[in-house]
Amino acid sequence: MTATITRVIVVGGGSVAWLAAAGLRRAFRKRGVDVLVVDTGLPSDAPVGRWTLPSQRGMHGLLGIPEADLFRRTGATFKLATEHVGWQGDGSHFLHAHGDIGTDIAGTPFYKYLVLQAINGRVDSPENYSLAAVAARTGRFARPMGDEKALTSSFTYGFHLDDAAYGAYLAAHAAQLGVGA
Amino acid sequence: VRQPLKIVIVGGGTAGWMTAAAFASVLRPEQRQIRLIESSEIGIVGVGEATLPHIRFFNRRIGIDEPDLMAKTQATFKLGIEFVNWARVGDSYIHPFGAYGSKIAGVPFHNYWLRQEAEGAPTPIEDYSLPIVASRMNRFALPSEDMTSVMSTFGYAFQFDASLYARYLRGFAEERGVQRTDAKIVDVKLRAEDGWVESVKLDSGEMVSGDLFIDCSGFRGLLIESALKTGYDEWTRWLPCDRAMAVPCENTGPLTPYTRATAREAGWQWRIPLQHRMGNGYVYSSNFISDDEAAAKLLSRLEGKALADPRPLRFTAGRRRKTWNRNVIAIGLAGGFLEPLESTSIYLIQIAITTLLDYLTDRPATDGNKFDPRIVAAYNRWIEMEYDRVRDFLILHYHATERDDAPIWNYCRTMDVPDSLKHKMELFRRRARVVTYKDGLFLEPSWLAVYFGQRVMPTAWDPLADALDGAELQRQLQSVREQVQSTVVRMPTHEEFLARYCPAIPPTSGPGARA
Repeated sequence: MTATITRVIVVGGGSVAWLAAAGLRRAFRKRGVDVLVVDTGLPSDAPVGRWTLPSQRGMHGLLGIPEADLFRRTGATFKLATEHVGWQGDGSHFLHAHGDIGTDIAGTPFYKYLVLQAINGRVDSPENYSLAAVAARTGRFARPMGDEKALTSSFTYGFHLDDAAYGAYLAAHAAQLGVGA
Repeated sequence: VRQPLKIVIVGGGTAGWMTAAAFASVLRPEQRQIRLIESSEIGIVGVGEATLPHIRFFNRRIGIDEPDLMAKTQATFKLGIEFVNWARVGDSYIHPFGAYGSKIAGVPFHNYWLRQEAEGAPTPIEDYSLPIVASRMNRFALPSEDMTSVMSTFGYAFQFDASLYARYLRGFAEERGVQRTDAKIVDVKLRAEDGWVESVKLDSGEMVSGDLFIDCSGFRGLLIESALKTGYDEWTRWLPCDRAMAVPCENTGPLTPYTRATAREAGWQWRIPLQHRMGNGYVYSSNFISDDEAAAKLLSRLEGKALADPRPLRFTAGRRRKTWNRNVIAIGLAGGFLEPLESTSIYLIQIAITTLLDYLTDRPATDGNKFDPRIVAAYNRWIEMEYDRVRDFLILHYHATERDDAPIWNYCRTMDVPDSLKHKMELFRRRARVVTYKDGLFLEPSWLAVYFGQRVMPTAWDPLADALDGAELQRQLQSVREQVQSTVVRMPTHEEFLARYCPAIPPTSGPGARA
């Protein structure tokens, strides 16, 4: 096992650059790989606000970022769903929620029963069968909990982040991991 | 009111009766009218005596009582498959139905195992798998639902008598209104305008019409090939075995909770323990050994007294170009053949049935007496994917060998394998990375078992596994080994468990009780 790469330069700035640098450093630190960020500042096309998929939770886990600390220092909020407004005409809206819609019945996926109902003239919104969607609609939140079959663990979440604050937070975290700048 | 779908199943082996039982159970009586045609003069192949854990989902979905099924099919439990002599003569490994250890800090366990080995403290990978350790000690207990317990880290399947299984399902299907006709099919009538199957003619003279014909007629593919000329993709260049001899023998030692596949001079030999006897067979390539010699070799290697003459089988590895063509769906051997090395025959039947049910229940089954071609194409793509996945995994067994003691092994060791497999093996060798996918067989532990078991060793592992402190690594690995060991020694023996859970009824005479 020889590490042929000893130094990685990340060119750029903002949360993307710091995530890449922190991730590489965390993964390869034991092998003595140095990671250096040449900070070119916040990219001109950097978003002001950033909303993430639930997969960002895994990234934070990998980097060893405590969620509560992240929220306190960046003013982040939880994201249970994305609402799509007007995509099927004025006044239309639906939620793409980060959670299950019902559960299989007798081995058949739940959505098929909704389709069957709709074919028979009883159109019902999938949102009514999603804990994440109903919580999102009513402005409520709790972390997923209980065993994996429980309704209370049938969802996950992403984040709403201020990109400048998130970038600064990640820069500080990367520095702690030994990323140079 | 929609007319019930008229389903005609041609052939009554494992595939035919599994299809009949599933359709009768899942579709409501007013949705379907099912007729199965089989001839008691034509034997069934029925060598697929070992299953995969997926069969339990099938049983649950259609409402089969497991202990009852096991008692009536002379079944035993199966925790995996032992492979003997595959990479080198004298090697043995078990492909378990369960994981090796569990992820640490999000990194797959085998990376830590590799790191520990490189750091000079090698331990057998088997010690980290509960089903393997249990198999080696002939023990069995049902898995736990408690996800924190090591007893939840495995699944199980069955080894049963396929003829008795078909008979069991027949009873189940007939109780639910499936109509069975004992007859031979002498002619197939196609519709003039589009070549769809309109009816089949029986030797009694009766014409049986239907909306949907399920071809479970075995290798010859009475409807899908003889009538519709669908075509067949051959895979013999990768899977050279084209024949088998099958023979049951008496049980001698303890009943093992696993199947065994032993590589031989021209193929491999299976060993499947049932409660009343042992199933054996030699799968071989006719290029490398004669039928007589294969039969003699098989008989000379039985553990107990042979209970019948060896029965020959012929096949061609491959898959029908379309398993759903017009209004015919080929299930089982009519759809394709992959040797039983990884016990996939019944799985491939099951997946064809459940996929078909998923597509059929989505929407009305017929629309102006036609099936939606997009549905048919989607079904065919799915089934193709399932066969291709199994194919690659089987080829790996033949290809990942160091053996040079027989022409078949020289051929397989040096043959060009499909790109899809080449890619998987390269990624594993380079980075210990198992290519995973959401649909189709097999999961990561299966690939790991065969890679490690057949000496495909990676040159590097996931660098994230290096983050763990060295002493902590030792401690965690040791803890897994101890947990597995201490749990297995408390499990009952396989035979004790069988006697309590599903003691078999002694076989009676008849087609199911193969002497």
